[in-house]
Amino acid sequence: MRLDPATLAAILGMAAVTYALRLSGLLLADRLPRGGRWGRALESLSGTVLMAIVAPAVTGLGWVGLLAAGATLFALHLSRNVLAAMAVGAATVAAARQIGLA
Amino acid sequence: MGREDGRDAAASEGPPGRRQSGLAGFAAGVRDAFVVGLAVGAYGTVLGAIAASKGIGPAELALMSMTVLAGSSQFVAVDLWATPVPVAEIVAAVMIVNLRYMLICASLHPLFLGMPLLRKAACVHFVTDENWALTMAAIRRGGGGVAHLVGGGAVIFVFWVGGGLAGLVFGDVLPPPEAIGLDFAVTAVFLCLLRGFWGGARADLLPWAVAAGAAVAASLLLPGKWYILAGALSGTVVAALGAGAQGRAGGEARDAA
Repeated sequence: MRLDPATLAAILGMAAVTYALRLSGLLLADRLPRGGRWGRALESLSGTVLMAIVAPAVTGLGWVGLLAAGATLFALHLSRNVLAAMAVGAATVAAARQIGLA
Repeated sequence: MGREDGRDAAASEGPPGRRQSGLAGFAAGVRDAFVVGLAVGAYGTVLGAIAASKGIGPAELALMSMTVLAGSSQFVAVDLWATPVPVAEIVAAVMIVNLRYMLICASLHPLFLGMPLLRKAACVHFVTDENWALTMAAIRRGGGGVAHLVGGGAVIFVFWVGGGLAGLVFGDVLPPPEAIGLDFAVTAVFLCLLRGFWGGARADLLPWAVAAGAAVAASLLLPGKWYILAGALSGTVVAALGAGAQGRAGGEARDAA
């Protein structure tokens, strides 16, 4: 099949900006000082980025999200297994939907 | 992804980039990402079904998924798709959604230290939210490394592209992932990984609380995906300003600023 030029332009544009963001983040971090405030900032990023993704995803589901998050962490605590915890979290949300809570 | 798999002693030696190198690291990355990859594939089918409704063909969707490899931005793009294609609007929206990759990839830089630029440039394409978080978690356990990252990225790549194509072809017969709670599956995995990232209240409580609060507030106030950036940057500024310094560096012995 032939690709429409505008479609191709959109896809390649999407790819180019996304790749540029990935590479520039890596290369810019190489140039920042490793100690001091910049070092602490870089070190904190994994926690803060993940928190910024997770927190709205949980609260966006309302009480069911908070319940499922609690169930996930409790299952992790008991089983020490991320996959078991994932299954419990997903099942909690699915069950809440089944009984009409979400 | 059991917590119990102990990494060997080699983990503590050598430069960070060699923590778990070559095929063994790649295989560990594949293993760690496999089940999360299934959830990503399920979401790929949703993207494929929406793409089909917008008249996007299999070659176009496959090209997009392989070259962009960033789920939420592709949902936004496909949602904006129309005839004629609003190229500038789509590219701008994708950039906003994916700004977080600058932060994510910045956090990965210790792994890549000393690696030739071309290899960095090739590997960094395979950084997605999911395998990034898994590799950071593996590093906490003494494993991880670039090979692990790329192994996980390869799994996400295959499931994301394959799921999209499956959705494009079979979209009408697949059940919605929400029915089995799959929309929460990746969030649940992230929660578990976040639990592993916890470095104690003195270091992390304030930055994380600020990140969570700012992200939730921004998700209610701002359109699109600005909340990820707003939350992460707020928390990171708090960490940089020293709220977390005492916890990590042990009081007075902190780095000279």
